[in-house]
Amino acid sequence: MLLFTTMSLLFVSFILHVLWWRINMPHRSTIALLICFFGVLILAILYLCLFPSTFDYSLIDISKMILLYTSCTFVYIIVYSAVEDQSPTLAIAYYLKKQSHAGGCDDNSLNNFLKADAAIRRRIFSMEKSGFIQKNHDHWFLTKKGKFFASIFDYSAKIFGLRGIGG
Amino acid sequence: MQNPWLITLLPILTLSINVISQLFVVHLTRRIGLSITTGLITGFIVNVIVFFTVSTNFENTCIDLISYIGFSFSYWTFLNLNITALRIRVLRELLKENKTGLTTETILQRYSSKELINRRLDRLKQWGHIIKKDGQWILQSNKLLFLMFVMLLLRHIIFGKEKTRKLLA
Repeated sequence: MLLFTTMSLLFVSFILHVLWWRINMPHRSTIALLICFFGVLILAILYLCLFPSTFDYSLIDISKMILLYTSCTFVYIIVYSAVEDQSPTLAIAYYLKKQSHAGGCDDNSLNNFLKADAAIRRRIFSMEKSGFIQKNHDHWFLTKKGKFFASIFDYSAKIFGLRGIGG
Repeated sequence: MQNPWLITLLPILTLSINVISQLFVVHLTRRIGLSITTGLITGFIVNVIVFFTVSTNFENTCIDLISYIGFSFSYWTFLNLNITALRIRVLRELLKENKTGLTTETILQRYSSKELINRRLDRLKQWGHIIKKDGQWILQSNKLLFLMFVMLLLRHIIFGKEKTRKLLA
């Protein structure tokens, strides 16, 4: 029953999120998703506290529900980031499938199809929109928020033994 | 006597075991892929062992395992962002050049289209998704196409047909 309740709550959040996006797509999608999903969770917990006899869940049950719901919400937010913007890796796979009748494709053909510069420009624009970077005399600089996140990733790369700079 | 809080907090405890194992293996072997897999499996095994020695409730097993898999996937994505994400790459490039900043052109020069494509082709080749035969790239696995299909389906549901077409353009 607890599993079913949690999955139902996630489904309700997903429906609300789709309705919100269809009516007016938010500029800061991650924050909007957090508000949408955790808003539903908070309302559900309030309901369970105000009307405990409806479901008869203990504090332990509610804690389990919060953990499961949070874990699934994180997964959805991660998946959503790939839904929102075309992943170059998936674009390559799609193009290779399309070219399979011609026996594949070479490097030049892939370069022409992918327009990787455009992908980088799109990400620069989206980071400006999200307040991570700002332009000053044609030069991009990290904002306070951007510096904070860049430092987290920089330190974590050292701590978790991730070599290279990514991309 | 069962401790109900142990079962409740099991996904967090096993996630910690996952992270500790990953850190231990990566600093010991310098192999990222191996360390991530070891961490994931260790956490999973501990989850299953603890669960079967403490309780036998099927619903609790499902809740704990789904929660653990969800948290582990988030952790794996966090690690993966450092390796593959374009945005993180740009952020870290800008962190290196914090005082002078970078123009769009310099960013594009530092991370050229060619590099972007080559890195992805290398990774796809390493994972066995594609092969190069007589100078031609050929798709070997349908896993990526399945993922692409799921993404397209979600785009259609969330954004509708029109917006999806604009996004893909």
